[in-house]
Formats: sequence, C-alpha cells, structure tokens
Amino acid sequence: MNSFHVNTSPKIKSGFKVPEGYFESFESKLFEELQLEKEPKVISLLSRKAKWYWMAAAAIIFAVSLPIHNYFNSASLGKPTASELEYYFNVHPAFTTEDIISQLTETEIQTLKIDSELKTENIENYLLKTESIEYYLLD
Amino acid sequence: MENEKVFIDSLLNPSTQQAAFKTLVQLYQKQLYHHVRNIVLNHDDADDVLQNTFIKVFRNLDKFKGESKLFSWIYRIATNEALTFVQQRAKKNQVSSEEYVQQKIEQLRADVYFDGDAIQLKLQKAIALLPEKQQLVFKMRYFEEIKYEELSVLLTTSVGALKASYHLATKKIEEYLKEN
Repeated sequence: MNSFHVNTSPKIKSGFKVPEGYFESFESKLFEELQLEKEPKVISLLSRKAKWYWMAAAAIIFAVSLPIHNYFNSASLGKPTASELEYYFNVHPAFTTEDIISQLTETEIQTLKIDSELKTENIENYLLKTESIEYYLLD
Repeated sequence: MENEKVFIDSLLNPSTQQAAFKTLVQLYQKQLYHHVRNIVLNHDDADDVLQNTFIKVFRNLDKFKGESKLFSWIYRIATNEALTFVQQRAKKNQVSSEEYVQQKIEQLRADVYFDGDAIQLKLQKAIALLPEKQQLVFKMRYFEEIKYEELSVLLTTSVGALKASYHLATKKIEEYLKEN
C-alpha cells in the first residue's frame, strides 16, 4: 500500500461484525444477570465439596476425642485402695482413730469387729507354721 | 443527554431505577460495544466485557459524584474493563498485552465475526504493533471519531499529549502499510 495517509485517505473501517440480533437480546441477558446478583447465594451443605469438608471434620473430631476419652477412663479417679488410705492416714496424723470411727456406721463397725476377731484356732495354726516359735515361747 | 441530573436521580431512586437503567443500556450499549470490541477484538470477549461494564455501572451508581458527564464515567469503566481483560488474558498466556493483541489479530482471519478485507486486516496488524496507550488513542480517534477534548476527559490526558500520541501512531501505521 504505497500512498495511504491516515488523515487524508478514505477511512478504513475496523472490519468487525456484530451477530444478528445481538443488541436486541443483550438487554434481557444483562437483566437476567443482575437478577441473579440480587438473589442471595445458597451454599448447599450437601454439595460434593461440603461433604468432603464434613467428613474431614468428623474424622478430626473422632481422632482427637478417642485419646481424650481413654485418658479420662484410665486416670485413677476412682476410689483409693485400702493401702493408699492407710498410708494417707499415717502421714496425716491430724486424723485420729476417733475421727475415722465417727465416719463409720454401726453396721460397718460390727463388720469390722467380726473381721478383726482372731479365732483361737487360727492363732494356733499360724504359730505352728512359724519356724521361730521357740523364740516366742521362751520370751 | 438533556437534563442529566433528573436522569441520574431516576437511576438512584429504587422505584424508577429499573426503567431508567434499561434506558441507559439502550442508549449506550452500541457505542460501548464497539469501543470495547476495538480493544478486545473478539466478539465473545467484547460481550463479556460489556456485560461486566454495565453490571459495574449498576453496582456503583450511588458512587457517581457528577464530576463528569454520566457517559464519560461509564465510558471510563468500559475502557478499564476492556484493558484489564486484555492484561489478565495476556498474563494467563504469559505474554505481554501487546503480544496478546498481536496473537488475537492473527486469529481474526478465521473469525466469523470479522469480515474485513486484506487492507482492514493489515491496518489491525499495524495498530497491534503500537504501544498500548497509543493503540487506545488511535482507535478512539480514528475508528470512534471522538474529539480530542472529550478524549482528554476520558483518558485523563492533556489534549497536547493526545495529539502527539496520535501523530506518532499514524506515522508508524503509514510506514507499516507502505512496507507491507
């Protein structure tokens, strides 16, 4: 093209074509889009992505709760054993025998009396089994 | 537009907004479409950008302060949307905006919505070789026939700078067309 001058030569058009009916339908498409904008977005809890999130959350909760549950179950929060109690009362002399007895019921005292009574037969059997019985007899 | 203030009030009034906005779209859609199309080149892209432009206009009507004409404000939104579109596509393709436009020009020959002849295609190629701002100035002056004073408002550039830019652009285009 030898003598084309932008300002003086006949105008060259852009060459762009518009699809037929484009402008007639543009307005309705635009308003549809604006209408969608007005409606609040609904996020489905059951969407595929959301399902994965819920599953992951459940797995995490389960994984964390199991050790916590085991910890609390295995912890010695139950009743102390007899030896533990005995030890405790030995190191805390503030508790007298009377203090302990005052906490027992009549039935519990009677049971203790029976249990603590040494039968003669049992004493004899024990002494016969003991090797150093002569030591005790001579003393 | 006559009595622009009344029209703007109707755009801001919820009870009249929809009807007023329809009027706005009908008034400006063609001019804005051609402006956007000149920048993005492809019809489908121009359609997307035009939709986004009007949506942005609708969302920001309350922010229009009346410092410029309503159409100037809308036109600037359209220009920014189109340029941003090109920049984003260029970035996605890891090329510069100029390279992206040149690639789009090469695809024009096969574009159903381009019925230009060899000269028109050559002109588009010549324009695509210009720096981005010069392209914009040239297209708006040459194809859209916008006066320098209005161009100055739309592009927030002095008339002198615009004239210089256009002059440089025409020289480069004439040189390209002569050699090709």
